[in-house]
Amino acid sequence: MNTYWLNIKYAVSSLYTGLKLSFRHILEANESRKPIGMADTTYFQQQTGIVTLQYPHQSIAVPDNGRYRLHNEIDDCIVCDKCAKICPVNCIEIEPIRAVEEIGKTSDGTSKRIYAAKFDIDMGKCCFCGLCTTVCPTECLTMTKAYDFSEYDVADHNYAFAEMTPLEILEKKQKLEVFAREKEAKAAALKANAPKEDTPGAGIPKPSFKPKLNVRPVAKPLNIEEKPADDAKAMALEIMRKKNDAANRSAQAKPVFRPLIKSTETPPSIDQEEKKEEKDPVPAPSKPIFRPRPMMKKPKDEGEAEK
Amino acid sequence: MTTFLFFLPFLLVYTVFAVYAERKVSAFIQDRLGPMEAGYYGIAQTVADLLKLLQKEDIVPAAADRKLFLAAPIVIFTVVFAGFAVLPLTSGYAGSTAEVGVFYLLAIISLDVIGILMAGWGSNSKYALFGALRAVAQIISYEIPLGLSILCVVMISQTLDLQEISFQQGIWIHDKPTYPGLLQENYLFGLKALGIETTHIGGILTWNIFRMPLFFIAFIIFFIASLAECNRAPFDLPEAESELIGGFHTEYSGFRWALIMLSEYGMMLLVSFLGAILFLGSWNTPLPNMGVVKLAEWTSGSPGSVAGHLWGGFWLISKALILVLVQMWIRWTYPRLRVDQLMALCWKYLIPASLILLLLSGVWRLLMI
Amino acid sequence: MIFQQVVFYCFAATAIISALAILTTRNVLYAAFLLMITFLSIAAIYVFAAAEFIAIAQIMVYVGGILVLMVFGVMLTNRISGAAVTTGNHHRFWGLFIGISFFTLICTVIIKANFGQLPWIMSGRETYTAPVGTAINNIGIKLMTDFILPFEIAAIILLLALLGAAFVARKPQKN
Ligand code: SF4
Ligand code: SF4
Repeated sequence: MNTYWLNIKYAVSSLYTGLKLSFRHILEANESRKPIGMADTTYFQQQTGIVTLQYPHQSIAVPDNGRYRLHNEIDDCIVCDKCAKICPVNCIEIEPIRAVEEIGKTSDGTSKRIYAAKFDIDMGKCCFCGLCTTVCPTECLTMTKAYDFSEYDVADHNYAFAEMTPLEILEKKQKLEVFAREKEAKAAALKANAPKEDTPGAGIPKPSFKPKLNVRPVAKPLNIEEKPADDAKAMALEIMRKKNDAANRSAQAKPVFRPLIKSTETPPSIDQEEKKEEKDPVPAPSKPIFRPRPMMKKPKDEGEAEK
Repeated sequence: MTTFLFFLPFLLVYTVFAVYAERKVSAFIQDRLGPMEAGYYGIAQTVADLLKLLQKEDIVPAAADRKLFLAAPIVIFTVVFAGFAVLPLTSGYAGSTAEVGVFYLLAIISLDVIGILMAGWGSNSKYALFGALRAVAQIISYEIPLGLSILCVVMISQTLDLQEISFQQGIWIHDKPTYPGLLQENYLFGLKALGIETTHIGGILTWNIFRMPLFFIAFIIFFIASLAECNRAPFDLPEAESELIGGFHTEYSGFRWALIMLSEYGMMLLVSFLGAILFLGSWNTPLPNMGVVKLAEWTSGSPGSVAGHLWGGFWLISKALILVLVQMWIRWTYPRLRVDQLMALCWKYLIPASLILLLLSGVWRLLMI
Repeated sequence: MIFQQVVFYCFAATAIISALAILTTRNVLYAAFLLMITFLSIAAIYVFAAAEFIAIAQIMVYVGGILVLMVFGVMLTNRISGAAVTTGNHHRFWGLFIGISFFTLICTVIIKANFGQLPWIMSGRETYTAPVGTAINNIGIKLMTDFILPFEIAAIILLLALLGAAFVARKPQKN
């Protein structure tokens, strides 16, 4: 019997406390959090009131070292394939084409020897672990502070950073073929002339590097066929291709090449556009050798892009 | 007689804004903003939702009992709306002046169960059936404390006529032609022995909750039981989104779902009206006459006059709407009860308390003579 | 008056049709819901007979209480046994025979009886007052005076039923 009355007492007091608490929140709802970022000294000061922001209209400033969408400064990329290898979810796809000679230098002075026919990052798959940015030897692959990049089409989550046109790709490939054929012929001739000297491999330059290049493109298509998960990707690619076809048809008609370079065609991504904007003020030839990291430059552009 | 011409559009408009208010109240309690996009401060959000609902396909599950499934929402809404028939709206404008008004409302509330059972059974889904069974068990149980707490009021008022009960709670007590045996004057706390007559003071002092101070407890019991009758949190076991995916209306979509929602909010309004009429002075003003400052008369016109209609409607509707807001406030404060807690609360706490109150009301009534 | 008669006949027809439908349907649940319609239309007829209290009591007790329990029971048994609960017709001949003979019996008795000469109707005619506002008072006063014994007996029976239910439902004693 005693517990009976205690129950009632406890119920009344706890119900009253609950009502008081929620009523206090209703009253406090007349003040709202301001869209101030972590950097602001008053960030933690507001403890009461409405905590949500009306997101697309207001947003909290992201710190400059925010690590969200990836960006590749393709001019600085030496196409070493490290990022693709380390990526735990395999969302970076690179299609390299060896150049016959050095094709230029990155901003930190590393020499570039490989063209990137394709450098795609599927942001839909990326888990934002940042491993790719840490392994990148030239620090061209960085994470930017752009975090709002939702799309209507899943295929649009694939960001293409390679800038080569299909024509260029074909040209480089042919060049490489010609070069390889010449070299083979040279090697054959060498073999015929001095077969005994061949074994150390001095004649063929960097034999170890070449297979590495070939392995990837060969392995990729196999994966696509094996994994059922890649069906979706294949579909997405299909959609992308259709879109691109339409876009290409209207923009520039290159119907001759299309069947050959199916997989390399990617939708024009926001980043590419951004980059174009970014590149315009900086004339390509007068590029400073020690350029600031793109990450530091991005914020302004992206902030504008958000708006 | 024609109050339904007012209540039908009022119910629709009220529901639209009540859903909006519910979302805002819940948002503020949870430190959120709630709907903000459609219209100024999100005011048109419910209208947009309603338009969407009306466009949706009216899906009838293949395994459902088609006839019952289609009829159930209509039954539920009809029953709830029928409840509004006996409500007085102002001092000169009442619905059906049936002398069994209170009794009729109780019957109507119990009829609601039938519609819920039809929906739950007709859906032929285990969630819907569970929801319906819970609803029935809950509503039947809570009808007892609800009925007993209403009976307390009836005992003091000595009538089942809602308009008569309303007249007794204000300064216009003499304006209703009535039959002998009813009170003709009010005293402070209903106690004649105190010798303070409040018949002409009116205001909050003549509300039932003041005429019989213990009615404060009766009102709380009534309010708890009415929450359970409306299947509102913390008694929303029949709907229990987190376990029954909506309970008896799980399988409904589009227009029929909107109808069920409409009846749920209609039921909230109905019990709020009933609570306001029975305990909170109906359409009487809360402001008392104080000497020459005749606040009560200034804020309520005499029965039948235009001012009487306007003030009466204003006071009654605002009281009911405030009670609806309190229901929302409670819903977003308390967690849902477990089934055994629900039954324990009803049978072990509310029913004994209301039985004792009933006895005390009888005693009090003797003191009022 | 003619409008009221039309409404009355509508309700009467609803009551009869739904009652017949109860007999013909084989689905017990439909029968229960049809029974609700019958009860409601009979309640409406009570209202026409100026017996609002009885009408509401009818709705409350039969529809709100008994019928709901019936439907509840059907639902539980159906879901447990897994088969649909249906009814069948048995003993058609005897059923029809008894039904029709009772019907004729009651009809003849009603037609033969001379209600107009009943004393309370006679007195009611003389002291006729509008029944508004007093029916419930009268019922209450009658219950507390003339019919106090049956009323109290009913109350005690209900109390016993309640006690019995509590006894059946309580936890078994430990000892
Ligand atoms: S951030 Fe991680 S998951 Fe994303 S691309 Fe780089 S390595 Fe892959
Ligand atoms: S690790 Fe850096 S340099 Fe190497 S391929 Fe990736 S982005 Fe290019």
